[in-house]
Amino acid sequence: MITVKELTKRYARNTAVDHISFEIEKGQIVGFLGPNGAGKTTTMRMLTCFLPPTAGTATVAGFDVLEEPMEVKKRIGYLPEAPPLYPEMLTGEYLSFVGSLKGLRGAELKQRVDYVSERCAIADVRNKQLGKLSKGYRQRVGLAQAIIHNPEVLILDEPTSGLDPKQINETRDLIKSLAGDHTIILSTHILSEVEQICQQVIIISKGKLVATDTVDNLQNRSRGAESVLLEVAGRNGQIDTAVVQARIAKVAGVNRIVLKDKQPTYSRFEVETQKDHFVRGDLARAIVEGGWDLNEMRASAVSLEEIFLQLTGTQEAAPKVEGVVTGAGK
Amino acid sequence: MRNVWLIWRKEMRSYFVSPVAYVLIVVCALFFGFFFWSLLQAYLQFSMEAQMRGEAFPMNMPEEIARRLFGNVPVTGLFIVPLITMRLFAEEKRNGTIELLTTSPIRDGEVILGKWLASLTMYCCLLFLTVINIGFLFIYSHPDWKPLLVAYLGLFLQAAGLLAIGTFMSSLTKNQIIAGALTFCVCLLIFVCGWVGEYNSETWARVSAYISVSTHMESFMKGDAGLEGRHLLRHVDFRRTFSHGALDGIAAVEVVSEYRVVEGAANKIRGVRHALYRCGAGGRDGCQCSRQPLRQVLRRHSQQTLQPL
Repeated sequence: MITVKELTKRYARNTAVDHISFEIEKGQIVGFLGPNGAGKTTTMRMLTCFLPPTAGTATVAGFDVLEEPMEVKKRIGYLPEAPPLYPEMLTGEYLSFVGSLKGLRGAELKQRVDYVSERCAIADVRNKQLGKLSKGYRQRVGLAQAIIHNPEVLILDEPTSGLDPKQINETRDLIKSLAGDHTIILSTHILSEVEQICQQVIIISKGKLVATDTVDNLQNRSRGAESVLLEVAGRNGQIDTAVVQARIAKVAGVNRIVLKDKQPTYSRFEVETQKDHFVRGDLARAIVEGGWDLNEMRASAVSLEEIFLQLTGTQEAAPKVEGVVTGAGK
Repeated sequence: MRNVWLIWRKEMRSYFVSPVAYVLIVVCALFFGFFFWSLLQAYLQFSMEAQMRGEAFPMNMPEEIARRLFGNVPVTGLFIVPLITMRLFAEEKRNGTIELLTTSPIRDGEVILGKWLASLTMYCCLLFLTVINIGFLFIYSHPDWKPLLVAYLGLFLQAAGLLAIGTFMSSLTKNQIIAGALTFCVCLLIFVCGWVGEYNSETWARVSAYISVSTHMESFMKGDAGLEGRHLLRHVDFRRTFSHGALDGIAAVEVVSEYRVVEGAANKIRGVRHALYRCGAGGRDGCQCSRQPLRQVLRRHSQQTLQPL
């Protein structure tokens, strides 16, 4: 559906996007990840024909963005970072304006306006001025204008920014429900969002592509491991962290121990263990047998966070974690 | 064409939903009203003095009132044009809505044309206010309407050119104030750059005199629409150059084809021009020293202007 080859955007002083290539199949939801200034927005703008690429090609639905921009524009719904709203317009009026810009007319236009206001839950603000809407509503009106002409490709630049948690969930559900008919690219800095709704991830950093794969593959590739969070307390109100750490390290299947928190009475560890290993039982037993109390044990969510940090090379910049001990089971 | 109409409608709406249009209308109504009133006062004064001295004093009402009123309109326009055009693109850029327009299946030319036409429509609304003033002349007397119409044509074309400059300037920046200031500077420059032609006949001076708006307005104000369509063509040039220049550059072929159309129009206008030449002035007033009501004075002069010299 979308093919990008060696796409490059150079400005006078810097290169925003540097020879990026990827391919997206029809019906996929693709997460576009990267730290600030990585070139996410620039890439999206080139795909929507807003900016011309310096070099390389991009085709959307079989049409080149430089050769046949009109055909590309007809097939794309785009939600920029800031929703493109005219503050003095009423919501309903704005949607019909955008609809007719996209080539809808008459009964079809009216029907689509009704449909998207229903779908994006903005029917109750149809007679309000856009300038007076709250951030959440503005974002949803932005999403509504992107899908009004039922485009084959949806390009969403940070669609959930500025929404409250309930609205974020609703928006994610909405995006998920749009998949299948639509091919969706969304940029975000919220990694859990990508895990929840995307099938494929494209990670870019400093204008360069660092990884493109499915979410599952990426997680498996980076670590055949899972993390467990432990809170251990001393029975007599005192605890020797080093001893506890040494004891945990002896448990088979433990790769790495990170001391998260150290208090006089208890300590918290994050323990990285091998996958498919019944290490949690062993861990619990080791702690209790060692004469300590196990206050808490839970699996910490395996996230893209670390993968992301590893790949984008920002890990060094993060504060150093202390107390790393290599597990004996390794 | 449908897209041009869409953009035009959106722009007109934003003029009239915001206070912009109403403020401009009030300001223009005040100014034009004041110009008309003071010109009329001066005219009455002159005609009375002429009668008291018993001189044959050439008085021409369209010349004295309408032409001077129209002479003031471009000066007002100089301030009004930047106010009308500065928001056209600058606001879209500031709001981020330019991303919506440029990623929709609509040509750049259609956006520019729609916006420019909307600004022209807005200007015509303001120009219409002078019609009210001129209307009073028609109520109380019988001025010749043809030179007035030509003057309106001149004002319209001049505004079209200046608004095109304003539209272009607005597309350069996302700051409305910068767009407005640039427009004002360029328009002012175009007004005054003809002065060099008065004392200098080198090529560059002649060119700059040709570019100047005021040299071309003079003949329109006299009721003389376009010597061989020259002025008209220049106005058309202007619009093309600037509206296209905003994104595409000039389409030379189109200018040539437009030239032919303009030539045809100019030939038609020439007929009107000959008719207008005859509207000279003739003052053959008798010696009457009594105060006369406005209606009488105006009627007499307007009748005189219709007599051929």
